Amino acid sequence: MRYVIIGNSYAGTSAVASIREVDSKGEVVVISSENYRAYSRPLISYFLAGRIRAADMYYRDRSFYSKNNVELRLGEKVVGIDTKLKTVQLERGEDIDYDRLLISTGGRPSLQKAAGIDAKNVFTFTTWNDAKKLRETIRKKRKAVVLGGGLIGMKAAEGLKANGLDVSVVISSPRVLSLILDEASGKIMNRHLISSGIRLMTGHSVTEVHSGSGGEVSEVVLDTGKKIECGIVVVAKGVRPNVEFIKDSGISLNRGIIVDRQMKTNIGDVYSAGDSAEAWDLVNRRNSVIAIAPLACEQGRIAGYNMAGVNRMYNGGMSMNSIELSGLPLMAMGLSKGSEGMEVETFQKKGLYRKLVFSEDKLVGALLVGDVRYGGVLTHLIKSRSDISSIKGDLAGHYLKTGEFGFVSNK
Amino acid sequence: MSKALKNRKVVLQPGLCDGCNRCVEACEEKINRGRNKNKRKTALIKIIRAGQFFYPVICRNCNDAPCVTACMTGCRKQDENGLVLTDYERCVGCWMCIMNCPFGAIERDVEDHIARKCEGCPDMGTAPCVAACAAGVLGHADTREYSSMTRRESAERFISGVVPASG
Repeated sequence: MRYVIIGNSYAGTSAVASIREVDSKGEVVVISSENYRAYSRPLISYFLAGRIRAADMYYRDRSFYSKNNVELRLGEKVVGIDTKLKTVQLERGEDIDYDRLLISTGGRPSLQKAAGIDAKNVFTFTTWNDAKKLRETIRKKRKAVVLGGGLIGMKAAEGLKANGLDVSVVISSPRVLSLILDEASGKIMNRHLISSGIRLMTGHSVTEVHSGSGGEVSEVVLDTGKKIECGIVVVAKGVRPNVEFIKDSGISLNRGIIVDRQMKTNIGDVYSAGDSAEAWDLVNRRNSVIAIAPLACEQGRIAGYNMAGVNRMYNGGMSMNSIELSGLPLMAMGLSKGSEGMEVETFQKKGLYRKLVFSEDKLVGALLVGDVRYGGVLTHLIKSRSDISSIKGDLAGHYLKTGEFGFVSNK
Repeated sequence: MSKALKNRKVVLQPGLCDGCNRCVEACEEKINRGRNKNKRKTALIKIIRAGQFFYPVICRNCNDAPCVTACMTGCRKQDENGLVLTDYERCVGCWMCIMNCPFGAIERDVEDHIARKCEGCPDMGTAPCVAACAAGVLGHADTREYSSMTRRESAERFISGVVPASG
């Protein structure tokens, strides 16, 4: 049996581990376009900020590949898959045979459309190389503009700020993290970031990028015509599944690669997991791309077992994020903003905001700002789709601890 | 350290807890030994009161522990005996584990910017909380004694949040 895994991050390496639990003999080949053994992508902002050393970027031991007898092919870009011949085509011409294939190629940054965006010192911020290039450049520059106020954009802004740069963030929505924050929590976060010295330009977009001598970016132009001088631009307009190369392979694709509860695609012996996959979303009750590390691990693990012949089902995942920006912690689980027809409880006091979203008798979302204690208990209630009708009422103003009905008021 | 000791984890039978709080005091005493008075840490075990019932909250070393799956740095790992252990030097304080612990057993340590939890006191013969527990709630058990099934079962029972406290 020859297992080929495209992608060397959380999903890919988790699949390796579960394959090897079951099958110690088969060949395992891991292909990665990057030149690093598995490292933590979410840590690149900590690396940029100088808060961790390069050695701490790796979340798997150095011996992971040798211990698991993996043939690691680094720096190889996959350009196509032939599902009839069962081969993977590498950019430099080689074809690699597989018996079982896992596509765990993660995401890639969405690009910004603006005249002059190809200027020098305009970066994306999703890989370690991106962070390294940024670190080189910040030594020579003093002002940076970040395009996009999502998780990546805000972590980039925080990292740049930690290096003493003057940072402006241009955000088309009225608030930062608009995908997960509602108006009240957005206000708290906006205010907090501004007081920590990050400039927010909400409700605006960049229409042009100007460059000066040597083609280096010199300023960006907002939709209002206002110009912001800068030596660095970081484009953080979100990520999407990195699946362009499978377009002609016959593998079903929506936003991501559509997989069933065993992480199987529509094509036999081809699986997908992680940010490239569109798997079961247990809050929205349909398949969706949820690009977060814990789900990549879980999906990778399930895919690995099934590839090795052990039937395991994916329970489904839900969107959740935990982030701390300039010392203010934030958690958003499930439908954290809520939607029409849903019951909502909120609790707010200075710098603290808690919101719970209910659909009938179930908790379907939670948003915690400033105080994230016992967040996991809420996550579990959402995930388990528990009937919580008997404890609804003033849940937002209390901590629900360890699933019992033990409330301790935080008022 | 003997192998048997390395293998053992702190386990509990919550139904027996009478809320005496001695485990909490014992834990606090140990983790604050030699620590500056104004930099004291809170205990890594807590007792929650729910009506007339008491529940100790402590790391349960879950099977396929969600905090390990959620840890983006790889600083938290589950060893071959099922113990969930943390390399705090590498914790960056992203709180992903807190968001995923169904027991609420991980604490955000703001001062050191780490996600703290009970590591089972592997440096001691008997953990102070276990030694202090007169009600027989806390104990040490070998992984084999404390099978994954038991852990799963107890996890499901105690985290479902819909079982009446007496049930």
